[in-house]
Amino acid sequence: MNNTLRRSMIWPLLLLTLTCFVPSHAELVVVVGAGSTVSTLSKEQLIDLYLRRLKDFPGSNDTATPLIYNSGPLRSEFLQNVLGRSDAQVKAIWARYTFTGKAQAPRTVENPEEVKQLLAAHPKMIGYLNRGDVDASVKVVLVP
Amino acid sequence: MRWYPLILLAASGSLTPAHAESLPDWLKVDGFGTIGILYADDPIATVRTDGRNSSGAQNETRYDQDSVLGLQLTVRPEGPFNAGFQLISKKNSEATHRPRVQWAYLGWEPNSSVHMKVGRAVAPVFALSDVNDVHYSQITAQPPNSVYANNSVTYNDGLTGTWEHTFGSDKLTVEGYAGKTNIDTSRLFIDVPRQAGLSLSWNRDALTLRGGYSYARAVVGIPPGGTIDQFFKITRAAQGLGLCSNCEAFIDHQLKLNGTTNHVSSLGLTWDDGANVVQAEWAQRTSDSAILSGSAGWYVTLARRWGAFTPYLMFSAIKPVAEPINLKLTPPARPTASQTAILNALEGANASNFTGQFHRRQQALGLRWDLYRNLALKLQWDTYKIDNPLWGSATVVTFPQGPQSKFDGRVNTYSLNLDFLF
Repeated sequence: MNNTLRRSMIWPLLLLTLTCFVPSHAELVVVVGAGSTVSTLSKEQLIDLYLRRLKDFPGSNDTATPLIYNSGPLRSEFLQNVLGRSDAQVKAIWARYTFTGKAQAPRTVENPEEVKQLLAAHPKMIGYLNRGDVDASVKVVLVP
Repeated sequence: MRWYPLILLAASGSLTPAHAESLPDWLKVDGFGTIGILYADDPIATVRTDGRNSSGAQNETRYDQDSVLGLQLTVRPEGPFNAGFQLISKKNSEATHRPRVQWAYLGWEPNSSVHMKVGRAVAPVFALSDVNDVHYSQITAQPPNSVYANNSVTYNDGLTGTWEHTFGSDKLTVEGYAGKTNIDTSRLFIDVPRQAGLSLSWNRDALTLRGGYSYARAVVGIPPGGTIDQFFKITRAAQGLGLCSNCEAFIDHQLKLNGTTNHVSSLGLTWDDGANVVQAEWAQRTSDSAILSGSAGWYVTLARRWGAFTPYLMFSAIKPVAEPINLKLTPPARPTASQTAILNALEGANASNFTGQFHRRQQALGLRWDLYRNLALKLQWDTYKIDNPLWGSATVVTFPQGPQSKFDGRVNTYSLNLDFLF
């Protein structure tokens, strides 16, 4: 192998090596408490609940209280890949409801344990987790 | 009293995350604000972005046009009752920033479709009425004034109700209100002992259509010694001196101050698919008093989001909708100097249709940059073109009246606003 060929292979190999150490993309799932009457949701219904176009869970009179992570990659992934909106857009939409007293913005949470505790205690709440954090206290209603 | 915003800001100190987390679930404190800088480039005309502001910008940079600070307390315990209280500090018609109570209501939600409020709550006259001062929630630097300066009613003291219903992927919202309000502008004090309104909006996916109607019966107060007060005196003097044959009738029928009836109709459209935004609204206000001269205005805003950046364009116009004024002047053969002054003033009223010749077009080019969480920076360039720069005037752009005015009918304004939520 001459020097030029060797050099040209260094960068692809380095990138390949680095890729092996990056954790695989975690799967986000939408969950409600195990005691909730909701069994399934479409992505459109979920978006409507989080953007407040829908107030109640479909087919019920239960007003949904959405949970959203305060920060971190799961928040960004949920906003961008599931809701299809930026953080600022979602804030702007919710400001319209908050500052007229029409509704409260989604409740912020800090970690998966808090999500599970709240969902277990409040059947009208809805949140999201990494699939690896799902346990018997919650049920998956959507894999976006 | 420039320290009012500081008091609100100090009160908001309790909103640091540590404090916010210590609040119970049923109690929430939120805030919003704007630090606004506006420069207007004309040495003759004055531009104010809100008709309730005592000051405007005239060939100068001002910090009191869009700047606002709001603080809100919401109480939502388990059960059907809730309450809200909101204070706003913003430059007002008395040239202070004294906070005003924007909302103070007790709410009742018997089910998830109905929300009734008793007390002071939003009067949903236009699409953005309920967030008129929450600039962060809007794309443009300020609500388009061709429509929003058309009616300064923001709150209703009385009863308001909202009914929401979802049919498949369609959502229908009906909002109604009845009660009273008052409006203090830089020119007039308007007491509204009776008002009512109804709006309907329909939403499917990215599209929202809205229609609204409002009625207000108003009692108008005019500042003693002000332009309008002087005009009343001149008109009465003209009748007494025999310089005008119908001035008394004009005052009685077309310059009503008590019990004026006003109607506002509006139509709106919003398309927001996440990336592209179109917002359009048309509104017409009619009045049976020339003091509150009727008008019709519209705007179209086009915006495109690219990551944190949202460039936008806005086109708008406003024109008067008023009965023609025809003061019948009867000048003597050799008028004295004082008679000539009176006759000139009355001719001016005829030429301007009292306050009615304010055809105005406005275009804006702007950029919103969501530079950090809860912070948006907006840069906006507005051009105003007034069709009748000798006899036009409105709450947004004001200038000297008459042939002696050197105003060419064009003004540019440049806004740099930092909007925030906390």
